[in-house]
Amino acid sequence: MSTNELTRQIKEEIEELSRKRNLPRHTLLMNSLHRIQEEYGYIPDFAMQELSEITGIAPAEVNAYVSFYHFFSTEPTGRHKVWFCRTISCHLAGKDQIVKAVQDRFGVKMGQTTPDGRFTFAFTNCMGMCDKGPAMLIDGETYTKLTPEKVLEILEKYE
Amino acid sequence: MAEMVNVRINGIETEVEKGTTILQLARKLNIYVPTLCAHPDLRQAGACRMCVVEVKGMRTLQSACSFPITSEMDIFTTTAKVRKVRRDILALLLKNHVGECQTCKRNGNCELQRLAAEFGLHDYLYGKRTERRYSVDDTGYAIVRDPDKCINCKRCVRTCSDIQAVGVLGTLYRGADTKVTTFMEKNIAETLCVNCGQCINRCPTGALTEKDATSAVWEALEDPNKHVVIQTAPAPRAAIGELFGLPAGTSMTKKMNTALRLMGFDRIFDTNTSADLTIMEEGTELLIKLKKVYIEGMSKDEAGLPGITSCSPGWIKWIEQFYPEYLPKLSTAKSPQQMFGALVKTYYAQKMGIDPANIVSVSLMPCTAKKFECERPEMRDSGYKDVDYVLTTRELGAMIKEAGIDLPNLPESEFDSPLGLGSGAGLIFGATGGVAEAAARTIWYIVTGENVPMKNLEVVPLRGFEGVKIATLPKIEKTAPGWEFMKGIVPKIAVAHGLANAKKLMDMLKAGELEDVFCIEVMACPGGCLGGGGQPQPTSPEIREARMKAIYEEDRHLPYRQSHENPYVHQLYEEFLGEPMGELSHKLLHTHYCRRSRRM
Ligand code: SF4
Ligand code: SF4
Ligand code: SF4
Ligand code: FES
Ligand code: FES
Repeated sequence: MSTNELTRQIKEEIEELSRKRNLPRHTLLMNSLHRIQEEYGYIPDFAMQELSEITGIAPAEVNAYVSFYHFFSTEPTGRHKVWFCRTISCHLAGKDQIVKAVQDRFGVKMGQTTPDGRFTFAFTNCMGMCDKGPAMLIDGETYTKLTPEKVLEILEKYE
Repeated sequence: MAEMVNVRINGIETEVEKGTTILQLARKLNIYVPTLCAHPDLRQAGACRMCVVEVKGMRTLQSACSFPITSEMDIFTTTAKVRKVRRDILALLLKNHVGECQTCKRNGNCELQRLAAEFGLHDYLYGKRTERRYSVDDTGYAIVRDPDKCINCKRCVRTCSDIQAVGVLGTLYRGADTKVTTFMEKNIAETLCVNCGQCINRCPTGALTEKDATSAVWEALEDPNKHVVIQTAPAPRAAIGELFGLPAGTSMTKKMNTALRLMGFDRIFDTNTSADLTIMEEGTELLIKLKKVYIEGMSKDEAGLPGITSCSPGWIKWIEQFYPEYLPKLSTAKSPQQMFGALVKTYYAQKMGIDPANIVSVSLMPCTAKKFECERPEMRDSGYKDVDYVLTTRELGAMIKEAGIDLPNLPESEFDSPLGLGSGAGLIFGATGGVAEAAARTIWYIVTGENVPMKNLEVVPLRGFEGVKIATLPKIEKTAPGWEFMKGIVPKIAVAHGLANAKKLMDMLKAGELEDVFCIEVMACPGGCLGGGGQPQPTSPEIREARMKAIYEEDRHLPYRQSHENPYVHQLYEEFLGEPMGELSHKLLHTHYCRRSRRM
């Protein structure tokens, strides 16, 4: 049982999206989910249910979308969400060393949040930066051609 | 004229309408193509690839169920490549399938098991998992999920969202991690599941089954201190034969009575008796609403029009969750099952001089949601649990077999009295539109003093499988004394079956499009009770059609065709209940509803 509700503003934004004719289901869902994640840092259970109520899309289908895309998380996350690309080009460019450097420095694994709530680290699939790997995404910002030193330097900038 | 395309399939030249799928073409020509995720009631999923075929000129194999024929082509369904790929798919499914056929409810009626036999898989080509990955979810009232037997065909997902507009089943994750489960992997009891069991009917395996009541019923039957009565609903009689190899639509009413006696039931009663009571109560209630509008000048909305039927417990939970603002329009009349239950432990117990505490009240239903209904706290008006156990058609079939009874070859026998006589009107409750038709027969008679002006009393516009029906009856020209205000009115009745259709109807109501409709009948299951979630698997439009025919055929031959003609109903009111909507009727035969949260 959840007692929470979406903020009036997000609700209105989603309602407006769902009133748009000819907006493909996929776009409606993705835009709404991005907006929710931006607001809460993750996709809360109640938010999926409200999204389903507003759009008429089955709750389980909303849940299916959320679980399909690594960008969405159903658990509360750290202040900064850090994604490392794990797809082939970035892998060959040395993503393992990057990830090791990060894990050693912060003492948590991929998919976990640092105890101080500062970062959540996770893997994602190709981000279209294949020629500039290894690549990483922090709060929507991409960083490329990482090295173990460079990645730690960048992360230090995020409080 | 539709555009035609020339095709060849296994060398046979033929012509098809453009857009026909390869599977449809194959079926038409009696060419067998194995399928798993495809289902005649559901949109295509293309999820399992069991149905692959070879198309000349195409490098990869194509899924026959989701490949529309748009240009000339050459199709092969039996090549070595096809055979090997299908075997591979099956072997991979078996690898991750944890279950023992011998102890599975679907043993002998499982599509996965049948395919494994057909393909001669005498070995696990890719090994076999033996450890369970998941636990069984039996938290619900009606349905049990065993995800280790699930093959991710998504039939249940499509059923729950597309047919039932509930949408609590879906897929999570992707690739090898993909699994079909509930919203946020909650226990089924915590979800919005309405217990309809439609997902069970379409599941090809034993991953979805009903909650078992057979052990409890056996125990009661074996207890010499218990007086065990059973009421049987109309829909199971038209379907139980399927479990014994008989064609769909074989009416088994009287043979079933014999089987139940052999099993040890003390009395065998007919739910149609209380269906007739439902009509008397619900009809009277509707007429009172009409009086409020046409005599007292109340608005239709205030008076609770259109009246909405309340005999389908899956529908009740659905409306309580999704359209609670319309609960005041719902008839307060209990379903026939629950009216019966309330009478068994009061009227019947008194009449027979049996302590109600020693009565075990069992019902045979086509429905899994009835298992939930009998557990509702409101359903104890007799002072006891009005209905103790609900058996589905499938469960009774299994019990009859377990008892070593050869149902098809039994002699026929009658129901017991005093609750063993129902009219044809009570009987047709089993088909979509049937409650509305039964009500129309009786209400027309009360208002005009004459029978409904339809050949054979058959209100044809209310019949058939169209998702939403809005039927207009003839204008009321002549009225019985006291009903003059109904003169000149053209009654309209709306009917929906399957909850996605009910949703359409509710949205029409909301939009003010049903202004002149008097009453709305909703049944949660496609086809009505005859397509209930406790009926034999498989299901398809043809199977449901055959069951429907059997029900209407039986109606035609019954001595009483209208609820108000049933002498037992009169006797019940005279001896015990008083009058429809009277004090005792109100206590025993009516109920109330609750607004339920939509949040899981
Ligand atoms: S689901 Fe089918 S294959 Fe699996 S154990 Fe049951 S009968 Fe056997
Ligand atoms: S029983 Fe009905 S509501 Fe419940 S999961 Fe199955 S299809 Fe959905
Ligand atoms: S539970 Fe049954 S219907 Fe649903 S996906 Fe699994 S096998 Fe298919
Ligand atoms: S492989 Fe990493 S961005 Fe494409
Ligand atoms: S039956 Fe065709 S893909 Fe499943």
